[in-house]
Amino acid sequence: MGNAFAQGTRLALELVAGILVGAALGYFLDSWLGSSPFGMIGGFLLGMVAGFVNLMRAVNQERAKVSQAEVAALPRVEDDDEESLF
Amino acid sequence: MSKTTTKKVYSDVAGPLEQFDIKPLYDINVAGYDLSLTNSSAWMIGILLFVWAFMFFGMRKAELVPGRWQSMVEGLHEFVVGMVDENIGPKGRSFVPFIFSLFIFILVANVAGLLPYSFTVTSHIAVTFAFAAFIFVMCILIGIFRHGFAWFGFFLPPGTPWYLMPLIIPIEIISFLSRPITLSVRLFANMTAGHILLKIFAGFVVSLGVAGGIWSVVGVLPLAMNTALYALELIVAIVQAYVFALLTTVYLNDSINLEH
Amino acid sequence: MPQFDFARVALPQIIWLFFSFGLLFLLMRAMLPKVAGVAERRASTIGGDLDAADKARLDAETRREAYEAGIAKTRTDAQGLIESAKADAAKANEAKMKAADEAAAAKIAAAEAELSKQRDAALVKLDAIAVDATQDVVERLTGTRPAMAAAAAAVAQAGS
Repeated sequence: MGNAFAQGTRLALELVAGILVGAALGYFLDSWLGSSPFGMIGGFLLGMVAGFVNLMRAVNQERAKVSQAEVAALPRVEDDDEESLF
Repeated sequence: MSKTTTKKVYSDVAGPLEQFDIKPLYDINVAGYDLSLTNSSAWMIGILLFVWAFMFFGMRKAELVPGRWQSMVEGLHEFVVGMVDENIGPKGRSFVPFIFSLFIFILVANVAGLLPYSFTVTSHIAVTFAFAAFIFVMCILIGIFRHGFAWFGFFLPPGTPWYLMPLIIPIEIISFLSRPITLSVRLFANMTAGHILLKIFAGFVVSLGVAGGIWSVVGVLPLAMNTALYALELIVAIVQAYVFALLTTVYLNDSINLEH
Repeated sequence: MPQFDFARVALPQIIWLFFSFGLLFLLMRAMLPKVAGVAERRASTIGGDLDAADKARLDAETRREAYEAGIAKTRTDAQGLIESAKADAAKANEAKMKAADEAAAAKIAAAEAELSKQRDAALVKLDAIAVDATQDVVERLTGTRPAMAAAAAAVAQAGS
């Protein structure tokens, strides 16, 4: 329920946050070195890559969790070797 | 306090954003800083008292055969311990109180925000980002404290060819820096969006009801929608508290156990 | 959105958050050991109870074994007793039979001895009767009675 939506927003957020941080870093680099606009552009691009990296990690994490859940959901043989008292 | 101007900007009669506004209840100024007791801080204190009461009265007897309330407290504790054990391992046990406090604070804040006329503490980016920034700084400090300079190897995945280092290291740094942003924005956005939607549909119900005649009947539709949304929001409130605590343990794990 | 009006909204919230969450954390840090302690105590109690139950079970098991061993021993003892009693009885029987046989044999021997003695006696008497009868017969035929010794010799001659 709402899980797919939540996951989607999470993934989009990873990408956007990467770009934002990259661009911000580039901006600070520009204002420090006066290299405008190359720092910003480079930061934006690097941020995009970092966002994708984060996105992939999030997806892999999600997948690992799902496969774990699948393993947990497998039918299990109840151990009925409970010894009777006599 | 610029009370009058804010009123003018945000109080367009039950607008969907008005519920997020900070309203001072008691003005406090310390050295020129505004530390007023607001609806937000009142809710924080309320959460604190609620959690304390929940824990205190649940564990007052601390019986071997727990009652329903004590089972709830113990179940919550067990849940957090399980989460910490699974993501950090035995070294994470000392962080259980922090994760527990974080989880229960956000959980109660999220769920309390669904009460009518309530204020959602976690719908403010300032609050969620304060949490996220604190966790971020804590992770860095723990990493350096536990592993010294070796911890910075975290930014260099093993097996990176030397010619890719100038590319990989900035990417890893950006990836690391974006953690507090995703952590805080996720919680803030989920809480805010859900509450705006609820408010908008509630507004539809009211305006359709006021319109009278056939429109009052049509007003049932957004009402049903709101009921469904409410259930969804309850789940989102719980899931987001869980996700916040879970990601905190994941981030802490990166500082405590050096994977590579 | 009022959330982005940081100048107005951020600082008081962060300060109060620091205050309330810090207090909450301190409270939880003080309270959680109790929760963990209860869980631990329960686990150890349950473990102890299980151990006690296990011990009781083992105890019962050993008792049952001892009981069964006792029964088996009693049974073999009884069997041995029966066997020895049987053997004793058979031995006693045999002895009795033997004694009885001996007694009977002795009696038979005695009876035989008596019999032969009496027969001898009878035979001696028979000789005397035969001698007498011979004297009588000779007296009747001849009118003279032979001497006793002659008659006895004749009898002995005839008898052999």
